[in-house]
Amino acid sequence: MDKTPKLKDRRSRGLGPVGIVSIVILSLVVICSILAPVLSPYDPMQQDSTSVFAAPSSAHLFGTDKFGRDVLSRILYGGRVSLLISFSAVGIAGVLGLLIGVPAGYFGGALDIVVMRVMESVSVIPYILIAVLAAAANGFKAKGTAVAIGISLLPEFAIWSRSLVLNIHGSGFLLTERAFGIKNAVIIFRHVIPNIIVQYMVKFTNAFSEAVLAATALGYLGYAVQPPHPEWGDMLAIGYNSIMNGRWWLMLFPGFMIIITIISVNLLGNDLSRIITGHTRREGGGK
Amino acid sequence: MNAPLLSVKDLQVTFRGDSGIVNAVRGVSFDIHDGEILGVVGESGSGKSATAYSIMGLLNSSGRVVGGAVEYRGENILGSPRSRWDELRGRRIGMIFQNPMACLDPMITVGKQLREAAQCHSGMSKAEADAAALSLLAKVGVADADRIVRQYSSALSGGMCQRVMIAMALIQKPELLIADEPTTSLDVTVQAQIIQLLDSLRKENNMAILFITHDMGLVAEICDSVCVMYAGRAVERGSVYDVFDSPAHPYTAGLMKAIPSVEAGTRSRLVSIEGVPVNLSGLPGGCPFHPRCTFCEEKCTRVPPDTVTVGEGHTCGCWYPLKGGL
Repeated sequence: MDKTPKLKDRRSRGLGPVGIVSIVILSLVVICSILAPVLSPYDPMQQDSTSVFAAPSSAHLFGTDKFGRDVLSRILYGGRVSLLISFSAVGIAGVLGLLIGVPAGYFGGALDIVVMRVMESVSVIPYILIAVLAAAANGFKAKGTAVAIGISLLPEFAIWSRSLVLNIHGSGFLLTERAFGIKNAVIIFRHVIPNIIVQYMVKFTNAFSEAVLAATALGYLGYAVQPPHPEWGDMLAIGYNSIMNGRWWLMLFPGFMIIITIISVNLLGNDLSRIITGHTRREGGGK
Repeated sequence: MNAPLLSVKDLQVTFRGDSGIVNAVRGVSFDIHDGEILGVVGESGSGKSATAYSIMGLLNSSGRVVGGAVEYRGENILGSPRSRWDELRGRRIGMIFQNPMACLDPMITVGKQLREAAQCHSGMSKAEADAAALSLLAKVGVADADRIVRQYSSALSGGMCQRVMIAMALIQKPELLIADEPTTSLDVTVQAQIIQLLDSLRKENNMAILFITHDMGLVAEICDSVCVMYAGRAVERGSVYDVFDSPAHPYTAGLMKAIPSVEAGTRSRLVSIEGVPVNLSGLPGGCPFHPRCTFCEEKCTRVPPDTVTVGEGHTCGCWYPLKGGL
């Protein structure tokens, strides 16, 4: 038995069992959504008046809804929408957050103050409000929802990248680069960003679970997609109306998908941040 | 005497701290000529690094130059636009720092950083830049340069990092090199090698060096002239011979007594300067050194001293300069 300190052990190893299970579940969810056209037994929007509210059976594994639409197919297609919205939102926030936070931290001074105050102002606007405005201007579209969630996640990313820049700001090499007369843009892209990018990415998993939650919440409220199209949150809302009639499958399956997606993203994030920073993140993921 | 390469005139620097404005540099003046090594000596907080950073325009956001001038070949460079700084930094005035390990980007190889430094002012191609880097590394005493350039800084020793830093600074052939305590974080044998290296490079390239240190021994070893700083003021300036043979300021004299020497014998005690370095945000009235000065008179507690000339090119900021050395 070796008696090396446990902390070092934990850090040097790759993903733990929890991380591996999470990544498998997550991959399954993503692959199923991508392959929805191949895997779906039915057209998710095709109504069938002969089998309305059918309970799960061999014909409809997850049952059907009030229009006789196959729930399994709707979940597979709905996942595409929910996940695409979440991915785009995190992508928008991640890239913009880096482009806004890094210069603020690097140049400091008035730029920093202005940028951070603007970010703080944005962070107090609820994403639902932004989504409602986007829907009012643009109709119920996934693109508007993604942008709305992206904007709401942006301050978190900008503040995070700024703080990472401040962490390395005191270290000598940035001073050295400046002392050698290297231009700021070159320093930022070749030296600052490569030095913070790994830690910056830790935020992505956390933000992704927040985005899934926000996307499905907006779907539930009916802002994510145009009604006949499936979306997990929207399916929950449909199911909610019939749960009292004992039609449990309408709510259970989409709810289950949302929950396992969020849980596995959070657990994966915990494991990744343990590898990167050496200890487990304390804050939870989705609220 | 020729016109100086760099002339610092009555430089004043303040820092905004938690407890208000701190006057870190309060009227420092000195000249550096081509090929000269000027040592700037002082305790921590005496303003020596703040002076160097002001010359490079690298003060952090809380620091500000509030007075004086820094003239590079007669041109006041303080307050010049960013584009002028980009031309000056690296190309005309190079700088090496105290902690070489932290001064190299940990994420890219040493070779890439050298190439970047070489290319940023000249129109060198990649191959030319790499060739220049290799020949300079050999010159600064890196034996297996072609292996080192593929390494990351974390794989190199402190001495090796400092050699790489010196090579990076020299690759642009600056006329002035500012060395901010370049050997403080290195062990003593490596320190001696780096000092010798700087001295020989100075001779070869006729490069001036502003050598910032708190080690009087190093100053005696390689500097031509010396500027002793205390509480943000240059308390004594002069050639190394004059200042070491006949220190005029009691603080300089105190520093000299604190240098251990082999000849003094094993029984003799090192003399330390009584008291603690001044707190810059609460300077005493009069001469800032008076609370620690063994020669303090009543006048010293009231009136800040003027700078007086005590010999040829030898000045001192004291009401009662010492005569005849120690």
